[in-house]
Amino acid sequence: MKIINTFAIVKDSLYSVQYDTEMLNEFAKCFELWNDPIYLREFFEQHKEDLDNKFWNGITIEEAIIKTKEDARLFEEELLSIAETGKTEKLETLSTLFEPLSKGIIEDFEKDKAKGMKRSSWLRIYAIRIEANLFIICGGSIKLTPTMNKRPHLILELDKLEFTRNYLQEGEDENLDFVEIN
Amino acid sequence: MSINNIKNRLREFSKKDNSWIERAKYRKENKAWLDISFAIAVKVMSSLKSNKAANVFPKTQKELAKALDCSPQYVNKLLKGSEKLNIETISKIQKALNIIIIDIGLKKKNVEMVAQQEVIFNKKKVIIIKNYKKLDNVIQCNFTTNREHSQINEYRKVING
Repeated sequence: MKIINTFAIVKDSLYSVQYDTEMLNEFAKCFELWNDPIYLREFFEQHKEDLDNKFWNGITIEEAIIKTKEDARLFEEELLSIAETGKTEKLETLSTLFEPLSKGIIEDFEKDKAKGMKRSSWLRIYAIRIEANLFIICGGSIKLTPTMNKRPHLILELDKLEFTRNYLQEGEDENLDFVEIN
Repeated sequence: MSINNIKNRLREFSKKDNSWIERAKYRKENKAWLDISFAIAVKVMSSLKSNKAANVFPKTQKELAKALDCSPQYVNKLLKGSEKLNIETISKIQKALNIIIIDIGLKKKNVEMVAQQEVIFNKKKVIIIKNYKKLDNVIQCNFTTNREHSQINEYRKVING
């Protein structure tokens, strides 16, 4: 794994890495994939068992694809609003949208339920918080399981976070936080 | 302070991203037709998958390309859900996969109403049927036997309840 570029999505506020294996930076890549029916079909076929978990109420692959695109649209519109004006319609900023990463204890779902599941989206964007309003995006995923550490594609996201933190800290002791938007 | 170092390095070495914001604006501005193109791609893919399970032609992108008389690259583009499809192409897809993407909404009741009105105007029943020159998307009603039939599968389902 190698970081070949960092991109400023919103100057002094939101950055994104680009890894050597990818044509796009991670932030742009997330939204391309979440709008690609071919990618989504393959993903949900591969993770059909997780989709069949009763938590998802018997959703079909087709429905899951359409839901992902719609969730991605809402997500993207919020971020576009922040990029253009610094805040969303609901007056959220990046610092309120990003939350500490819960790598996967059952609490994850209970926590979401407690905050009322404003949008039960399985989309995630992962980042490192450098300071209050400064984030660098390391990746994203479709998260169908409560935990991250039992699926290769989610473990990869944890690896990317770890790798990018090391890249930024260059061996110093800072220990920056992992965060996610969901 | 190392946070400042990180910040400065980011500021100095980061490129400006134009790709995401341009694409996001494009998706927002073109949402209406992109949604339709996406839905068609999803439906076509499902159809190919179920053909594959049943071992029915066409069951792959390559076979669909043959059926549509176009390149496999075009089929791939189509399945990416961002093509501005024209009616002719949609029509060919419907035929190749035996699915309905655009439903022109011809309802059984409407056809009966039309036929009944023509009867009111003193036309012979035989002439009414003959006047429907193209019987492809029609439910034909035989007034003598009071039986309906159609050449289209979807309408047969409607007739047979």
